[in-house]
Amino acid sequence: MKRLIAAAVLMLMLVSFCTVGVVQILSHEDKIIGIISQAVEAAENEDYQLAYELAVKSEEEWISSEQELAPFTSHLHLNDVGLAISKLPPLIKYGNKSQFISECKYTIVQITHLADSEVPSLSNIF
Amino acid sequence: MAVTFIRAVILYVCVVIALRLMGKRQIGEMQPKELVITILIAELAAIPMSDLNSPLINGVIAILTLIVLEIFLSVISLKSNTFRRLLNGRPAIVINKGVIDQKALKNLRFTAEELMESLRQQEVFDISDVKYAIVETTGKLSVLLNADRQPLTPSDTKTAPASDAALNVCLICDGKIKKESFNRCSLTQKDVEQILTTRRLKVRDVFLMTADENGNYNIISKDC
Repeated sequence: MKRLIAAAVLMLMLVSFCTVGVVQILSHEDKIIGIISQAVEAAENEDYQLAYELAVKSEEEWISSEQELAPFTSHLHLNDVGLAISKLPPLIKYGNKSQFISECKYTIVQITHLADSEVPSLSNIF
Repeated sequence: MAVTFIRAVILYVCVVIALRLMGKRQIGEMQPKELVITILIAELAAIPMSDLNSPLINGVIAILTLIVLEIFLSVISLKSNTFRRLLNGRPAIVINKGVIDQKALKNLRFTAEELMESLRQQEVFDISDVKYAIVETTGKLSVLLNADRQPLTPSDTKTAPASDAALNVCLICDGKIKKESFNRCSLTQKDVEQILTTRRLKVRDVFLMTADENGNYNIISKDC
C-alpha cells in the first residue's frame, strides 16, 4: 500500500513537473519572439536605434531564459538559439538591415521549433 | 568532467531509489517485464550520464515513470488474475506424470537439449526420475521427482528429526548489535553481553554472532 501511495505521489510530481516545463518554455517563447518581432518591425520602419535596443534586450532576456529552460530542454538547441540571437545587435548596429531581418526570422523559427518540440503532440511523440 | 561526476552520483541515487521502489527480486526470478524494465533503467541512466547536452531531468523522469508504471501494473496484477496471466503468462507443464508434453515444449520453443540442461541444473540426470516438470513464468524449471527418487525425510522412516529446524538470525554483524533480530531468538541483549563477557570479547570484536530460537548460538570473532 505504501509503495502504491509513493507511486501515485511520484506520478503526480512527474506530471506536474512536465506541465510546468512546457508552460515555462511556451511563456519564454512568447516573450522572446515578441521582442524580436518588435525589433524586426522597428528595422522595417528604419528606426534602427529602437531595433538595436530591442536586439540587445532580446539577448539579455535570452540569457536569463536560458538558465530557466536548461533543465527542460536540449542544451544544444538552447546553444543554437543563443548563437543566433547574439548576432542580432551587431548586425543592426553596423547597418546591415536585410541580414538583420533575415537573422531575426531565423531566430524566431529556431525558438518556435524549440518550443514546439517540447509540446506533447502526436507528431513529437511518434 | 565535474558535471559528469555529479550527474553520475545523482543518477546512481535515482536508480537505487527506483530499484528499491520496485521491490525485491533476484535477476533469475524476475518476470519478463521486470527484467525489461531493469535493463531499460540502466540504459536510461547511462544516456544523461554521458551526454551532457541532454537535460539530467529527462533521464530521471524516464526512470521514475517506468518505476511508477511498473508499480501500478504490479498492483493490478495482484488484484486481477486475468491481467496477471496476460502480463506474465502462465506456468506450463512440460513433463506430466512422467510423459514429456512435446506440444508444450514446442509452444515454449524449448528444445529437448534445453530441457535436459534445465533438469541437470536441478540435479536430475535421469529424465525417467521426473514425475512433473513445470516451466514457470520466469523461465525457470520446477521439478517433482517420482516418489521412489525423492530424498528420504524423517517422516518417511517414521523417526523424529535429530533437531527441530530453527531460524538462525544475526545478532551481531561486523561489530554492531542488530536489535531487530532479538525478537526472533530466545536470547536477549543482556544474555549476549554476558556470553561475550565470559569469552572476554566485546561487541566490536565480533565479526558475526548468530542465534536461534532454541538458544543455540555461534560466534565468529574478527581477525586481528
